[in-house]
Amino acid sequence: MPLFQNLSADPADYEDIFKARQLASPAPSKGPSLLDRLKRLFGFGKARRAAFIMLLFCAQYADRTKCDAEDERLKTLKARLNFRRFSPDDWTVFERAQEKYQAARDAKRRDRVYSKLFSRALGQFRRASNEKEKRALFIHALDLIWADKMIRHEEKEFLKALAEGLGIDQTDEAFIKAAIEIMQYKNNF
Amino acid sequence: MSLDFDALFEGVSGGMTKEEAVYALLKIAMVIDGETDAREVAQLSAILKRSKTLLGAKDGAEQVIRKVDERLASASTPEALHAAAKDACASLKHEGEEISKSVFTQALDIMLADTSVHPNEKVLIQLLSEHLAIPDDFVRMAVMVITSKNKY
Repeated sequence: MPLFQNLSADPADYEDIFKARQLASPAPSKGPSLLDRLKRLFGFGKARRAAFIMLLFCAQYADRTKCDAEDERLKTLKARLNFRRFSPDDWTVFERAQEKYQAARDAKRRDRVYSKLFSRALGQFRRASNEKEKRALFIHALDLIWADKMIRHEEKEFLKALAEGLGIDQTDEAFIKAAIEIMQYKNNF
Repeated sequence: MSLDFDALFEGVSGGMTKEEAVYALLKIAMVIDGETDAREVAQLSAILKRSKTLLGAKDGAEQVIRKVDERLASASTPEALHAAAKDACASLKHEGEEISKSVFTQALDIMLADTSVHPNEKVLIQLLSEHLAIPDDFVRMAVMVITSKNKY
């Protein structure tokens, strides 16, 4: 039997061990801690994290506008994701995408930039993620879009394309319905 | 000298305003596990910034927050917090199913923000679902969706 066959791939299972180790030895002066590196290794891969963030960008710009409520929601989400799985550096892809999108001269060109970013990120995320991650992304996108308490036509189209692109529209119909109902209650408040 | 009606009705359930009840339930959801997790704090402050219900309070959201915080400061045990939650539920229930479901969902989102469920949080989820009369199907659905969301 391979030596590591029974080892858990969940970094949370090793947290106590590494916390104890960190207490026993002085913290390294530079770079991420061993625990952080382990989390990154076993957790969300860099490409997957980038695709996740790009799809959040696409959710925010689905109606081609940037609103304060969505911006605020994104900040909360960013803080939450950075707590465990993501690093602040991961978010540079969001800023780059935003710059690229805003630099486009007219609406038609912005549409083209948006579509290209969306299809690339969607393909990457679909290939690299499991069902739980796809579901989580869909709910976060829904929650982000609903932050301004409305869902515009373009945003509905985006959510449809996202569910189809992730392949959860066929298998998880009940889940999508439940997610919409719960997020509606969460955001109409 | 006028009568102190707050003192006269001390210990009687259901005396909070809608806004006080909403804020009390969300604050209790944040503190019930005995820890102040940064994600739970961020979640609550984000709600406070944009909630139509809280921002629309007659005396202003600050007044609501101050009053409820003062009351919860004396509730130092989980049991006392659960009692305050029951009072808030009694005050909110007659406002209708929609707001009860919304507050339940928000409270759940705060409690599950740190991706773990403390035993006191389990009791509070049960208490909220009972005292706000949230249907079982909705509770199951909300737990499933919020848990899926908060995995990442």
